[in-house]
Amino acid sequence: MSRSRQSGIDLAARWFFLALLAVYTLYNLGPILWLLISSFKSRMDLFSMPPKLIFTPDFSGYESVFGIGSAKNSASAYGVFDALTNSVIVSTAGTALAVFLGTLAGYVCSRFNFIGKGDFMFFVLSTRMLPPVAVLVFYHLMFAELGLADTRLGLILVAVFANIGLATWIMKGFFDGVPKEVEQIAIVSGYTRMYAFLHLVLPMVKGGIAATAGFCFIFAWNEFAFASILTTTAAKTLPVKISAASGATGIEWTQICAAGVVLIIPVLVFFYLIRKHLLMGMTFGVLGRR
Amino acid sequence: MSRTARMRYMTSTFIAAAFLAAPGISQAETTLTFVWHAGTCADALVEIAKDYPDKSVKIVPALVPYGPEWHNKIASEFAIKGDAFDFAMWDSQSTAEFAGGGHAVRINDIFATSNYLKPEIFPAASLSRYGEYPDGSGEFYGLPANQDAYGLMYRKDLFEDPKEKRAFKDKYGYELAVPQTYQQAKDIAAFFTRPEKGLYGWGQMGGREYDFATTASNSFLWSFGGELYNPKTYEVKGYLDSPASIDGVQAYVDMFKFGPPGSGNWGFDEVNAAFQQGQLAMAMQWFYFNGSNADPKVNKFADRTAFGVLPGAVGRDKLFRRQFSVGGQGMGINKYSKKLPELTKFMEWYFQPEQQARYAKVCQTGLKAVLESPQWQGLNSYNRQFSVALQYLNDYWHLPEYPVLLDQLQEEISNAVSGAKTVKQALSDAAEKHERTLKRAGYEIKRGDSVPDVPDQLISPVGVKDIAAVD
Repeated sequence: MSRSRQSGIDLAARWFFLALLAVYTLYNLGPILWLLISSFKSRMDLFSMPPKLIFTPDFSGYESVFGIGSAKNSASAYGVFDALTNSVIVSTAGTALAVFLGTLAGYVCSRFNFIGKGDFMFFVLSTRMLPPVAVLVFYHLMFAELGLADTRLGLILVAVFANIGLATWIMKGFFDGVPKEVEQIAIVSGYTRMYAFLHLVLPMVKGGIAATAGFCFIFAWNEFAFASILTTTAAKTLPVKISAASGATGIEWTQICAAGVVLIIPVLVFFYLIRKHLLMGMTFGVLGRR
Repeated sequence: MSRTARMRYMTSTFIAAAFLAAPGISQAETTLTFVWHAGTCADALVEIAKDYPDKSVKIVPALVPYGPEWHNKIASEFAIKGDAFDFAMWDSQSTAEFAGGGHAVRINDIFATSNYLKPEIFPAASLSRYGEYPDGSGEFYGLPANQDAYGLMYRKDLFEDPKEKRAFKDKYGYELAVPQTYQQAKDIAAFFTRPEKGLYGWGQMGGREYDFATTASNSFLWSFGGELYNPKTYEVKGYLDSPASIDGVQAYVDMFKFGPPGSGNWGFDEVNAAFQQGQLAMAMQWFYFNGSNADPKVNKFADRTAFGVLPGAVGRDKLFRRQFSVGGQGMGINKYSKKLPELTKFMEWYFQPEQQARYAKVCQTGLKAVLESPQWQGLNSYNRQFSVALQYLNDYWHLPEYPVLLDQLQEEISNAVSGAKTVKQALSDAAEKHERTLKRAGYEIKRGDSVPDVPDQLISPVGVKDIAAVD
């Protein structure tokens, strides 16, 4: 085969894979693009058939989400900013605590043998096996007794309880991948285990911590079942607030789409911030460590 | 970053997090929180409440989606005897569950002590419908805050088109007009069903969610003389699966032939969307949504949309009945609220004619003084029809087991709509499930000798010989 023919085949293959990637990207981003476009459509444009690609932008959805403009006085707009604030605080604090505790627990389970370790690991995992609705009433009763109902602290605790099992298991996997000799050498050299953990082991699993934080944040950010029952006004989160977007016209799709866009943005920002560590973490370190 | 600096950073982060995690402190001296599904009526309440003279009291909405979450939010708070909300608007049929469970304030006590809030300021039927439990007991647990009824909307440009009128008369032998019976509605729906032009004759709810299929199908079932059960003997078999009930639900299922493909799964939003896009000549819909369906900014065909009362039916006993589902909500008070005095004062102000007249511009009030005022019927293009519709309302089980009974009937009606079961089989299965539910709940089912084919003859009969036409 001549060199020019070979390069022609390579070029065709390259274009083919690029086209395939473009289709795949469009397939994945299509719903988000549709969401974004729909958030600027009036109800009339939203339901028009065939679907309109060129239309006059309607900002009423965003006005409703932020309780400004024409939606300033609507009951639906009441407390949207508060809900957004609640979501950010609950998800961030819940993620930070779950990852912090999960990292410690994962390290202990990776490095030490103790009585009931297997049972403990299974118990931690089992907290994710229950559907939320199965324990919702008990949570509600407990939180009402403890004064945690309709508080951010209550929801943060829920986020921690829900995610700590996931964080422990993922982090254990990462710590298992770090040779024990790393700490042994440090200890032999006169450093404490805590020093070895903080300065040698942790930097080696920062990709894993980022990936774990990503998973926990998504779970906490999207959590609906607990928040819908455990909160009424003060600690209501954005997903719960959005779900109530129903007005005189029926379901306010424009408002829901606008709120969906607003819901996506903090997740995008979060993942942008941890992007450096994410790829390694998501592949559980198989691509190599730095 | 040095270790000291890192420790400082972490400490300040935790202090900030702890501060942010604390619940917000309300500025108002008293907040009265209410639970309702979001929408125009909740907006209206909040807007009106802003003018409440006592500025130390703040009305706070805790809105939830329309559907099961709405019921569950109230029920779960009652389950823990919590006071996260002070009052709530709940569906009429939920009164039995919440009052029967001992969670709602007995309004009779407020009637006895208030100088203004008295039973006489509400229409007796409305007060009973939205607040009485048990039926006929004179014990009230809710006030008629937001009335609603199933209604009809139609395209008057199609109905008044001379060509269409002539063609219809040639085909069916009578004038094209707003249908008085479901038999006529079927003819008209078939006449306007023109899929090649994107036009369909009839739109209605049929979805499995919440009460979508049940409220719609009940309107047919009652009009054909069927019944859900016998409230005195608690018999369901023979009533829910009676020949008249089967006739009604069959007529309901048949109407999907004249709706767009997939309309068997529709909820209220899909009905509105299809009508607003000009896909439907007629649709059955709650009066609640007429504000938007009359709004040219929402409905392309608003200037060509008219509102009416739902048809009735001539049953197999040759009697005419017109019955359809009641909608709307009563305003009930959380028994565990610690703010009853403040709430009573607010309600005394809120149910004044001045406030209710404002409310009536967008939603349906339950205050007699407003309903009887000459201005009320002219406030919008559908209040006149609504005043007529109020005479034909019926409701389902006023029993604490309502959520279970509803879910079971929803499942079986959906089976009939999807064709998974025949109407007869679906209703027979629903009757079986309902009796089992009632028995488990401790009701004694007293089986009578026989049930007539048209059980309405036994329970508050409403059948009349001639078709009682309404304008």
